[in-house]
Amino acid sequence: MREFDEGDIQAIMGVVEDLALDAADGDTSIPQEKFARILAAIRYCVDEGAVCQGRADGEGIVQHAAADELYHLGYRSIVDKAAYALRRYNQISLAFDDYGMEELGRTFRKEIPDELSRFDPRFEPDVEVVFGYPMPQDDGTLQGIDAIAAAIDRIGFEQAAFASMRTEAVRAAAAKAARRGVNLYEVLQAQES
Amino acid sequence: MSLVSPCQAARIYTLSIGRVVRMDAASSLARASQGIARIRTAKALIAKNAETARFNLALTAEDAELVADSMVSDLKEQKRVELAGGIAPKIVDAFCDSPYLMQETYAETLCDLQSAFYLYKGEAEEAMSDDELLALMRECFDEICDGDVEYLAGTCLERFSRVVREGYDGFRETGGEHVYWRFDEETRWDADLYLEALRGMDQL
Repeated sequence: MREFDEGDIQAIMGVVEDLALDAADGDTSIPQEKFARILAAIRYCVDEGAVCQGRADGEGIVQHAAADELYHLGYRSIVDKAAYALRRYNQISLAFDDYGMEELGRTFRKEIPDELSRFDPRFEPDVEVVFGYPMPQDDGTLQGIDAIAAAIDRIGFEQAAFASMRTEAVRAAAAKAARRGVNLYEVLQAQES
Repeated sequence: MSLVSPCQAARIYTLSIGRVVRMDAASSLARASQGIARIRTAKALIAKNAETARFNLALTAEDAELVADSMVSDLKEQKRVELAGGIAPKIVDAFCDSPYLMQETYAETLCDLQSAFYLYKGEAEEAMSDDELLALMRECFDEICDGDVEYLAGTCLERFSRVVREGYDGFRETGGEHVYWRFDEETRWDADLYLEALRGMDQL
């Protein structure tokens, strides 16, 4: 987490005003709750920008760049991540098979595209995302596009693994996973071991 | 009045930790924003005097401050954040040619209209835009309330915001005009009673 100083606040006020005026849609005021949401969205983008800048500078998280620059950097990064996630999703969907497991099919064919199309990097980059198909790596810490991208990557990884196995075995494991409400890949791994 | 300065707000914001900005930090920034809106509102209201002079309406600097201060407490009460120059200058635009605005009570009426606006903006769950709500208020103020802001707020706006909450959105087609009548519950013209009164006068 990057720490803000007073200069950052001055720098970020322009971004706050732009977003708040957009959210007001021609009105002069907005509810305080909506204002707080906007600030949270800005903070999320600034943190994302700090991580990106830190990565470029070889630091963990930068503490010296101006907050408005970090905001724009972070926002750009989130938009790029969303575009990449969509490309990756489309790539996986070419050969996607749910092996008869309804939860997996619903998550991939409905929940993920819904989240991708609803995703709003300006006003809700930090949206909480929950999928029906159990993801073993999902500990609830990822938000927004990071959570969506992680789910796509995980399903991509699993699909590649399933493709190298006997279809009947995967289908049988899928029925078992569905009954238990657990991750299909983990069922198959448990069977192998 | 205890407004925090932008610098104080900044310090509180700096202290906010975690990915989600804490509500107290957001509230402090909102209050700092209200301070800016207060100054803008007072200035904008004084500037409006040039336009309202033809209706013999004007606000003194003290009046403008009064309306701006009233805005700050309304915003606090209704948990809203002003982003531009406040709603008061738009209220002046919408109401300045009303036959019910009097110089003597101009500032006080503006404060009351402003309070009603912020209250029912929220009561209508943000479904009505500023312009739609102002158009509805102006029409009711002149044609139903005869300039009585208490009746406007307590009856007309209360009733209309209720139907909006229940899903009515017919005001969007007309920009807020000519829609209140549908929900008016009072009998405003009783022809039989009028005729009876006329007959009574004949007998006199």
